[in-house]
Amino acid sequence: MSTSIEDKVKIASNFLLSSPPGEVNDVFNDVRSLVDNDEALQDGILQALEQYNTEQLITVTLPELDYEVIVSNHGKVEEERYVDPRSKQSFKFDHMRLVLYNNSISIKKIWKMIIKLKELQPHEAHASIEPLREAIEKKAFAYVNDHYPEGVCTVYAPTENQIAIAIVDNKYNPGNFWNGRWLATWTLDTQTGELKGATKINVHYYEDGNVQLNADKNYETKVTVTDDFTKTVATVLKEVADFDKRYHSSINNSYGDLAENTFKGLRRALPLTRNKMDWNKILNYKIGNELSQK
Amino acid sequence: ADQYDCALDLMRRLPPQNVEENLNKLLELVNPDLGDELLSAIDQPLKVRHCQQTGKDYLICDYNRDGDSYRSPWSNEYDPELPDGALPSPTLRKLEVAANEAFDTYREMYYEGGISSVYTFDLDDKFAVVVLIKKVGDGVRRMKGAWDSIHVFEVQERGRNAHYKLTSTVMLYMITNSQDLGNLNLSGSMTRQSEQDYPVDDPSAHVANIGRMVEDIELKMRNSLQEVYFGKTQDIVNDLRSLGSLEESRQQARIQQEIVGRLMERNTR
Repeated sequence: MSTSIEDKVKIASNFLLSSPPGEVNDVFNDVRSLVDNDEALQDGILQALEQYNTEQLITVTLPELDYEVIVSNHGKVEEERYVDPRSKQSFKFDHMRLVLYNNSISIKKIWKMIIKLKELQPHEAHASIEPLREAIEKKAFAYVNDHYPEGVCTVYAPTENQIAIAIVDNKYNPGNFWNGRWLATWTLDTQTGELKGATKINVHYYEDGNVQLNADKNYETKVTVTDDFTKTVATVLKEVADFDKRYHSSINNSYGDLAENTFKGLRRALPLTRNKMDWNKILNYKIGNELSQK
Repeated sequence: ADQYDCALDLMRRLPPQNVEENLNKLLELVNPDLGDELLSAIDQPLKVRHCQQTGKDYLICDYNRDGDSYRSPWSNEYDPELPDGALPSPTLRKLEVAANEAFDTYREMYYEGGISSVYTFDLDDKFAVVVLIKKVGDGVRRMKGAWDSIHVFEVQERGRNAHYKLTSTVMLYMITNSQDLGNLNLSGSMTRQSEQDYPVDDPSAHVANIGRMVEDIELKMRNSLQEVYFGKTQDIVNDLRSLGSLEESRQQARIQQEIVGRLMERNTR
């Protein structure tokens, strides 16, 4: 009984969502060949691609700007339209772009996608929360610049009572068979003072194998939001920085523990005798006789 | 591109944490006639079965399977029963028994626990030997680990020598979670190959030859795994984020450059 095309596209979408950092194109090429039905595939995976891009904090550079903006749900204003709070514009983002752009398609289509990106519209910020957002943005940029070598940071104010901080750092090295990504999103509710963070780390090493690190941690706390928002900004960034430091240190400590204890407990480097096995001795002792009698 | 190659490439990219689930989904995607080939090409964590006759555990794989039944290396019988189930020839069975005993010792010496199983089967003018080892960690301090070794040999006897072709895969899973750490999963597999010629004075020599090749390749792979898991992936994490202040290190670099510049100036005066 063969699988229906709908189910195949569902599986393909599922695989796309599990792509390691920097490899969504490779996964797309693989599933494209396996599904063998471009039309059905393109129709069916758009939702998965959108989910992938926004979850993985994919970045984009807008025309005439020299910094990257994160494409995330916190910045979504309508279907395929996202906000860059820093330049106070919204842009159209075609989620298929990420995969089609790198495959061989006609120049005309690529041009069309760039133009879509140029469908910039001015975006009006929520006046009451904008000063807080800008202040957090400034401090957040400084923090990211200080700890994330190639970090990108975007600070949103999706509503009058919400701030969202998105941070992502990517390292791609497919030539040496590895890729990595550290991503974090923080949300602050200015009415309740709730500050929630979610951090994820993915590393993929694939020379003669497939080794992956998947780590994640959530965090929740409450901060006091005052009218003098310099204090609020300082508190929020301190919570973020402190969490990152603790989490990063825990990861490093875990590595030590896994290497020294868990790994060694699975298989010794050498037997207790400190020598390799004497195979002749083993055979002669146990079963040499039995085998020699043909 | 070839469906088979795409399937293999996909399995090298999808999270090894979910290899069984991914393989099942993959089998639904590919042409049905590719199914068997993929099942034997893609390694999965070894499953354990209990041999009722001998009371010992054994590991199962495609090589001791016939239909839906699996053959115990200890009793040489299938479970569920299979009166016409494929069996190794009497000569190979003798080798199989000897190998299982020898690797039982090997396993105890290196793994201090765990389960091992060796299977043999005839090929046209050669024979195959498969050595499986599985060790699951004791889960102490909330760290769960598992090691699976799959060594597949192709043996070609040539007079008083034999040519051994080995493909080895080691799967290593490590999972931990805690209040401080959240969830951490470091898992995957590595594959290596090796080819050797050894003299075979009598049939028992095969066991020793295979034993040495397994021991040597596991030594190499253990070192590689250690390097990759605890060296490389950790380095990448620390490349993604710096614990220390980058501003400070940039400042330091600037000061150093300035000093070097001034020293060079001095020397040229």
